[in-house]
Amino acid sequence: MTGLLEVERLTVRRPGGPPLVREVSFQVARGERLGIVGASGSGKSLTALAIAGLLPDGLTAEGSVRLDGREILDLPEAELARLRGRRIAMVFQEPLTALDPARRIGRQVAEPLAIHGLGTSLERTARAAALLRAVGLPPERASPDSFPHELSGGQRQRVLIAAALAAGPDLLLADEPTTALDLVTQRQILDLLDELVAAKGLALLLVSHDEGVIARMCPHVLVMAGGRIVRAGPAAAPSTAGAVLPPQPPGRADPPALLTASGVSRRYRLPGGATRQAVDGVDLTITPGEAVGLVGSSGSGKSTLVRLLTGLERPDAGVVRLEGRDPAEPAVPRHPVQLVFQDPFDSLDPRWRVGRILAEPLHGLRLDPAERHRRVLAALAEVGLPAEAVGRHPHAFSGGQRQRIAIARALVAHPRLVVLDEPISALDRALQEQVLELLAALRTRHGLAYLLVSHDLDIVRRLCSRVLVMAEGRIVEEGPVGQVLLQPASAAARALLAARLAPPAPSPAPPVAPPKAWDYEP
Amino acid sequence: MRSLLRIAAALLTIVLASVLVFLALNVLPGDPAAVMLGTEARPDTLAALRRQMGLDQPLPLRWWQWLTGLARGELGTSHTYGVPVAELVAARAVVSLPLALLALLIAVGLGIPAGLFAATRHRRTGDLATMAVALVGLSVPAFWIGILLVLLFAIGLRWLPAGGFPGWGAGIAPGIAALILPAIALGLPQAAVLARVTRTAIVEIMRLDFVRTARSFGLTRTEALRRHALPNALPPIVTVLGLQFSFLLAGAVIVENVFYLPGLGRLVVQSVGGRDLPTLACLVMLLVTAVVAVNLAVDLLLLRLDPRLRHRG
Repeated sequence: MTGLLEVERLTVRRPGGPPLVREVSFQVARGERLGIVGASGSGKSLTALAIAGLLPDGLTAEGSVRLDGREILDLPEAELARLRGRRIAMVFQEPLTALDPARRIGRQVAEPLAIHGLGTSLERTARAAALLRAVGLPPERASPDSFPHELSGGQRQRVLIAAALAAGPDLLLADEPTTALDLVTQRQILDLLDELVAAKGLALLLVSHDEGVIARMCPHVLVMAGGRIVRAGPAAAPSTAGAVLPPQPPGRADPPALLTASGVSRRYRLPGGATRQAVDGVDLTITPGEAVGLVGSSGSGKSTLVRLLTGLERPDAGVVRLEGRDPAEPAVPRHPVQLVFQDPFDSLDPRWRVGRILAEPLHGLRLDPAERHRRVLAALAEVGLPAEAVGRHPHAFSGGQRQRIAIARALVAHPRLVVLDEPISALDRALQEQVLELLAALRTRHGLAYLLVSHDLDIVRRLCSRVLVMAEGRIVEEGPVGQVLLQPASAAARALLAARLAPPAPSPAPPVAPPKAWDYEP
Repeated sequence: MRSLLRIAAALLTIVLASVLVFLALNVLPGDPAAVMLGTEARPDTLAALRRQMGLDQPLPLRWWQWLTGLARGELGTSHTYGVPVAELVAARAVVSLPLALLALLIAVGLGIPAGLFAATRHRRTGDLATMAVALVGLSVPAFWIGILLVLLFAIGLRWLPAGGFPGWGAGIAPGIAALILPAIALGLPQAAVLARVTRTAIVEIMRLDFVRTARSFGLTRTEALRRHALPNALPPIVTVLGLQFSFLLAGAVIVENVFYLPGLGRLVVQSVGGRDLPTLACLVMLLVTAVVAVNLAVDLLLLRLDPRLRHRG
C-alpha cells in the first residue's frame, strides 16, 4: 500500500543557517492518523507547514514531499495553492486570529469552495450553512452572517474546522488545534475532530506538544526533538508527575489575613442595555504565605474577581482589604501585590529593555539608582536569567524566558502576594514543568502568598494547598485541593475534573453528562 | 446610533469653530468702522457707521446673526472687491475644487498601487527602490516640485502652460491642461505618504494568521493579498486619506501662488493682505466645514469597513 502522503528526508532551514527540521521521513496512508509530538522549537509545526507550502518567509524546504506519488515540494506557488484546501487542509492553533476579522463566517467557510470553483454561489452558501451545522454551530447559536469577533475561541475553531473540510480534502494537517482553548472546549473540539475525521475517512496529521491530545486521537506518534524524529511508535498516555511541593505551609495558629474580600460584587453593562453579574457576593481570605487556587471555566468571573482583589477595579458592593487597606485607593501602595499574566508575549512592552521593565514596579518606592539596579539584578538571578538580559528587548527571549522575566518583574518589589493568572498555559509542556518548579521554589524561599488562577486542576494541585471553585460569579466550592479533586461537591468542579484528558489514577471520575451529539450531516 | 453621535459631534465642532473665527476677527484690536473711515473721522460719523454696520449690538447677537446668515448663504460683501463674497468664492471654487480632486486622484492612483507593489516585494529591490522614491517625494516641498515641473514641462518641453488659468469658458481641455502641473505638485508628496502607509499596513497584515489560513484554503500569496489583506488594510489607508485632505487644502495656498491660479488658496492670501475680513471669515469657515465633513465621512466609512468597530460597547 503506498501512502497518501510520503515525506522523505525533509529538511527546513534558513538559507545559510542550521537546519530547523533535519531529514524527516514518514508516511501517512489514506484514512490513517499520525501524531507528531515535541517541545516548542522541535520542528514539528515547520514540518506540517512545509508539507502545505506555507513556511514563513525566508525558510526553504529540501527533500521530498509526495501526495499520491506526485512530488509537491518544488511545485510553483500557483499549483501548490490548487492543492491546498482541495486535497490538503489545515487547522491552526490560534482561533482568535486565524479568521479574517472583516468577513462574515459563512463566507469564510464557503471560501475554499469559491477558490476551487465548486458549485454555484447559492450552492456554496447552502453548503457553508450545512457545514457550520455539522461542526455544532447551528444558526441559532452562530449565524453564518456573524463576524469572527462575535464568537468565542472554541466557536471560531469550529468555523475553521468547517472551512478546512469544505472542499473535501483527503488529508488534514492540524497544528496544535486545541492548545489555545480551555480544557472543556479542548475536549469538545477533539471529539468533533475525531468524529469528522472518522466520518469522512480523512487522513490526519496531528501536531501537538501534548502527548495526552495525541494519545486520544492517534494510534501512532512521532516524537521530534531538535528538528529530528527521535522516536516513533504507538502513542501512550503521558505519565502523571507528582506534586512539586509539600502543599501545607508551616502550621500557624490563625495568622492575620493578608487579603480579605467580603460580599464583593461587580456588574457590567452589556451593549444594548442588559447587564451581567460577573462577580456575585464573593467572600475569601488569603493568609500570608498561603497558596490558594482559583479555578473555573472561562466566563466564570475569575478574571473580574482578580481585578477587584488587586484594586484594578472597584466592586459595586462589598469590601476588599489588603493588609487592612483598600487596594483601589490611589494612596495605598500597590507593590505588596504583583501580577503575572498568561501571555508572556503580550504582557511585556516590546519597546522597553528588560532592565526598565523590571525596574517599573519600583517606581513609587523612592530607591536610589544603585539600589534599584541591585534589586533588578537580584530578581533576574532569582529566575535564572543572566545579568546581561537587562540590556535586551523582550523579543530576544523565548516564551519560557519571557515568563521568567514577568515573574522577575513581580518579585522585584518584594511583594507579599503574587497573583498568577494562568501563568503557564501559554507554554509547552517541558517549559511548564520548569516554570512550575521555579514558582514553587520562589514561594518557599520568600514566604510568598500565591493566588493561582487556572482552569487546570492539575496545576493547582501542584502549587496550592487550598482551592476555590468559581461558577457564574460565585464561589461554589472551597476546600483542600486533595478533597476537591477526589470528592468534588459542585457541578462546576466535576465538569473541570471530567475535562482533564488524563485524570490521575486515584480520582474516581463521577459520571458526567456526555458532550452534546452534533447533528452531523454527511 | 453611533453614526448619529458622530454627526452631532461634527456639527458641534463647526459651531465651536465659528465662535473662534468670529472672536478672532471681531474682538481682537481694530475697529472695522474706524479702519474704513480713517484716523480723521469725526466721532458722530463713526458712531453712525458703527450703527449701520451693526457693531453697536451685543457680541453674542452679532455672532448668531453672522452664523445664521452664513447658513442662509448671506456671506456679506468683500471690502476689497466690492462684490458679494458668495460670488467671489464660487468663482474661485471652480478652480480649487477640480485641482484638489485631481491631486487626490494622483495621490490615490499612484500611492496605493506603489504601496501594494512594494509590499509584494517586501525587503527586495523593488520595495527598496519604491520606498526610496517615496522618501524623496515626502522630503521635497510641493512648491519646489512645482518649480521643477514648470522648468521641465512648460519651459523645456513646452507641453503644458507654466501658470495662470484660462477659465472654463475657454473649454475643458485647456482648463485641465492648466491644472495638471499644479495637481502633480500637490499630489506627489501625498502619493508618497499613501505609498508608505499602504505598504506598512499590507506587510503587517500579510504576517497575520488569517492570511495563512486563507492560503491554506487554496489562495496564492498574491490572491490572499488582494482578497484578505487589502480589505483589512483599508481602515488605516482611509484614515490617512482623510487627514491628507486638510494638507491638500493647506498645500493649495502655496501651489496656487506658484502657478498663479485664481483659486481659493490665493483668495485666502489676498484677503489676509487686504484686511478683507468678511471674505476671510467666510473662507476660514468654508475650509473648517470641508475638513470636518471629510473627517465625518471617514469615520462613517470606517464603521462600514471594520465590523469590530460597530459592536464595541
